Amino acid sequence: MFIELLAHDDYLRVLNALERKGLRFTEVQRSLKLNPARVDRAITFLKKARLIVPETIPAEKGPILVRYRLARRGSIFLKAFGSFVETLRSKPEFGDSEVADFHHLTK
Amino acid sequence: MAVVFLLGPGMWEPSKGGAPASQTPMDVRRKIAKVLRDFHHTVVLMENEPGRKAEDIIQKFDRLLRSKVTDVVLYWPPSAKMQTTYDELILLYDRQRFLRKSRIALWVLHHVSVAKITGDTFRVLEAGHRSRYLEAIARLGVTPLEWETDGDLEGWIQLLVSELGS
Repeated sequence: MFIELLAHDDYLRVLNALERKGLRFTEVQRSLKLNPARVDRAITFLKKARLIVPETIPAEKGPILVRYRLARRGSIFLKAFGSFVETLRSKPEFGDSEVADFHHLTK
Repeated sequence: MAVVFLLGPGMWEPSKGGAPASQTPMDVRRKIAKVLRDFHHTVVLMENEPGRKAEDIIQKFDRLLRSKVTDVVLYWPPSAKMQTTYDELILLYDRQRFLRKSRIALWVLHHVSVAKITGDTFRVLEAGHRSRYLEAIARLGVTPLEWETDGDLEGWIQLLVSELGS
């Protein structure tokens, strides 16, 4: 599962986007400039992997809106992945170009 | 560790068809309770708790809900007799102020035939007026966990193990 996560930029980017606060589907789409099909694929994967969960937004009337937030498992993964990237950053001998791909994934 | 009030049906509804003979919804809820207990959560099942003298069903529901519950989990399979669960949802909805004040989290483990998320929107698929019960609860703010297969359901139960009480 984690291999598949690392193999897809979109999945990691969506997971990162949810780190600070929960976002609705269209908010994820706008903030990452992704088309709906790509967001849908990422969210479907991340839910199945139990890294994120949906939650309905309390409201008395109108459509029942949903936002996605990190599950504990997703939060733990991002912390671990963040440490990994930090280690890469703290080793200048690795060289910028060699680790640029990893930096991109945390943006 | 969480104190979980685990709600949901006990029996299949033969007229809805497609119900597995091997286990009832109550059996499934008991299995869910066992998994959660194995990870040190406390689980309250209405039918397992004896009623007190002169206590009616509503008073019993109130007493159990107010016994330091941190999370309410609703198990909602297809093809089950739902009337008692609808009643429980009404009782829950009527106590929304208490739920908010006590910061009790609501989780709905529902089959794909019950509700669906499309884009930004959660939509209840239950037929006719019956959809209003789950809609009313969803408007309070719930975590809907959709499953289709037993494997999906097991995955969400594992998620609950780590998320409950947090």
